[in-house]
Amino acid sequence: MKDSDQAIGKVLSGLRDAEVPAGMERRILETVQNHASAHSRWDWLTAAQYRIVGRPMAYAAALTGIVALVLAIPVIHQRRYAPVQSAKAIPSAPLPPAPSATVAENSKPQRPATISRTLRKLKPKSLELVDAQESLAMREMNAPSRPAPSLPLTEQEKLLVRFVRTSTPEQLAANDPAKWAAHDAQEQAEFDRFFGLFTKERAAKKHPAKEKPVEEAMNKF
Amino acid sequence: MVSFEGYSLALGAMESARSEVDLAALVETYSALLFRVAHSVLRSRAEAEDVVQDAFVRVLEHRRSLPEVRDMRVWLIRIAWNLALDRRRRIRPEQLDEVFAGTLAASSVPADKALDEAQRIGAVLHEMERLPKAERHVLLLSAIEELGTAEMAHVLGRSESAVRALLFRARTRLRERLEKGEVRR
Repeated sequence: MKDSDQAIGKVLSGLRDAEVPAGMERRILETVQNHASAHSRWDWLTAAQYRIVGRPMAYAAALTGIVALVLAIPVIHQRRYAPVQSAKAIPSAPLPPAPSATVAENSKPQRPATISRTLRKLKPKSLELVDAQESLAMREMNAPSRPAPSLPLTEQEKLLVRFVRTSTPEQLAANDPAKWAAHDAQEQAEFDRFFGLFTKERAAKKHPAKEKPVEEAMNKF
Repeated sequence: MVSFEGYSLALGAMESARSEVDLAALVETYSALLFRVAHSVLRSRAEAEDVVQDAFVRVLEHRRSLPEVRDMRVWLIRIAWNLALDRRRRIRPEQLDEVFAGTLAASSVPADKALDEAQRIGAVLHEMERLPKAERHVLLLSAIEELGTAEMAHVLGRSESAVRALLFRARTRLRERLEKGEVRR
């Protein structure tokens, strides 16, 4: 009986004297604080849920208003800040007349090209920042750019275009200014050579007596 | 006793700071007691510490009802007690009892007698587990010095006289069974 009591007392004293692990309080506090921080995120949601359950009609109306407001904001925003497309083209300075030397190079007919700039979609947040003056500047900046139409062709240009379109490649290749210049020079030389001999012979035939007294007078001196 | 008026983890900085201070005071004041309560049931230090952590987490979750708590000490002990009982159902207590008996024997007797002592302590623990539930609970709670009969009665939901009677019957029954066991050997 004594042994049994001793054994029971030893077990109970062993349970009683159990030592607390070192750092247990710190670990418990850390765990509880982590749990509290994770729990507090859902706290206001839970509170809101309880309130909504308590007054369903009032919160349903408020929710409907919020949804309507959210849907209306983009429409209002779009109307206010949408860039206005002007029907008029921006007047641009007339192009200077093309110099005659470059006519040959620009012999190809020019097509009136319209450069249309794609409108950049601006973020709503950046649109909110601009005021009325800036929005006007933005509209002008984003307006489509149309250059002035090209000038009509001159008569020389029309002749060149016609020549280019109707001539054969051999004719086009022969249309070299250097070759034409050499050809003209050669013809001029032949002309001068032929007509120069002819004029000397005719002059010698017409005035043979006039030349002799002159030569005699010269010899006298 | 720490004052728990206004104890809540509200969103306000002041209130949250105050609740953290109160929680730290709670842990500092009651963690050792709760650890011994849990250890009496589980006989494992690691498991008992987990139970204490869970108990304070429960306190945090029920912080709204804290002002209604009349006796914080008994309330916390009851939480830890129920959590420990629940945990003991989920683990294998035989292994924990063997480890506890070996540790207790090694600390009290020389090494050559430690094996016999561990067997004796193991037999006591085994017979304690075979006791009726109410008697076992009273016996385990009586091992904690800080707890008086009134607090044990509050924790177990019984009257003080019932607790005394249960404690007497538990000791008597346990002694008889241990003596019968020794006779059989």
